[in-house]
Amino acid sequence: MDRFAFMRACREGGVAIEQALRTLDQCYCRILLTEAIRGLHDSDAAADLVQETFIKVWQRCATFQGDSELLPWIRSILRHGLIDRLRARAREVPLDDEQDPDLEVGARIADLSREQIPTPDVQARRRQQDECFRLCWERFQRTAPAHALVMSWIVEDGLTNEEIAQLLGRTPGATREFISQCRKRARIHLAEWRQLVADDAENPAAADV
Amino acid sequence: MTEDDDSLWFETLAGRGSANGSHPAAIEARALRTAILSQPRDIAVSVPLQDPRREASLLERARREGLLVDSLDLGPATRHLRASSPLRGHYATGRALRNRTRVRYGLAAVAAVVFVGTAFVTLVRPPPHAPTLRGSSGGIVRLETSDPRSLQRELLSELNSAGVSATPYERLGGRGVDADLPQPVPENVRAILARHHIKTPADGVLRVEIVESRGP
Repeated sequence: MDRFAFMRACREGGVAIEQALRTLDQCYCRILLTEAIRGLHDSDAAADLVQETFIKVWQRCATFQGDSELLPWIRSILRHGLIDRLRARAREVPLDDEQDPDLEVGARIADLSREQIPTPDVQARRRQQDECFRLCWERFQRTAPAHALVMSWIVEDGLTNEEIAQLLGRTPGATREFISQCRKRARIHLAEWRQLVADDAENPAAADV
Repeated sequence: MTEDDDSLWFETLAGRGSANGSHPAAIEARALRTAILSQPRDIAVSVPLQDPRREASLLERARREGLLVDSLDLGPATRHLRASSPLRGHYATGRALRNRTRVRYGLAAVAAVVFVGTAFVTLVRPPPHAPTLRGSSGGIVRLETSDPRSLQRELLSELNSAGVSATPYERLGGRGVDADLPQPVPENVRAILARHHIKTPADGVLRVEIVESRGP
């Protein structure tokens, strides 16, 4: 949807809003639903969040200045809602610096053995790494969904500290701490994958075979 | 993991900057970035471009939220007129607007009464139980009190009065206050924290979580 048409509809109100809601739904439903499912892993909850986002878009339409495209602005509203929902599901338990990462790594490797992820052979090492990462990442998403989601946004959209602070509704200092928590949690949940990568780095010849 | 270390990790993860490329934090973040980017981004979501049921549900919700006038029931006498009117779906106009204004004045009056009542009760009632420190972990101070809302407001107001820009937040089951304290932390701010049994954070990042006490 054209941002100027959106702003016009916002000014005019009435029938223009009803029509614009339909247009927004047609233009962005799929993109937003994909993003919401990715974060929530629940298609009903995701559809509800998308609908809620469209409503918020109109409730806040007067704050849209038109100096950026419409989609990034709408997406940030959706992401804000996503974070809120993920936070509501589970209370954050911060990880201390004092926690022994080796113990955690050991525990994760034991988990890995129990889940019977195949021992990587040399030829398929790269594929094994990818598969290992996928499994670890899924576990990370289940255990710390908000942290995993924000990390993927950082990678894909290059979010800055300020942008993340805005999404989280926290101060820059608290956001830095959140990012530090992302790193600590990722280290724990991706321990097996990190181990594989480290093994390859130590023995590159084997990895090249 | 130091703050600089985390910062380098974060910037590399976001794909920014190549300074300190051989630093362990940068290597860690680069490997992670590559792995995340190699994951499939798009989930196969089958969504028709136009879906009358989806649209109807969205418009219904918009009406419920008061975005569209049909959320106001003006009575059976006008219902059929609205149904056939070209202005159907319009923002509140005329009588609808007057009705809505009346409703708003009514709500404002109720809110004023509630506010005055609450203020009266707050002034007369003895202060809530003093907060007790439940614990502190990962830099987050947890306070327990019988009235988290009041304690949050009190802490916020005291910090703001002391020139600290503090941010309140609310999550399911708890409230809290975040603030980046000026460095060095002024005496009056230290005094406020001490009064609430909060240890002054060494890094200046104050994170307080307030939960409701369960028992007497």
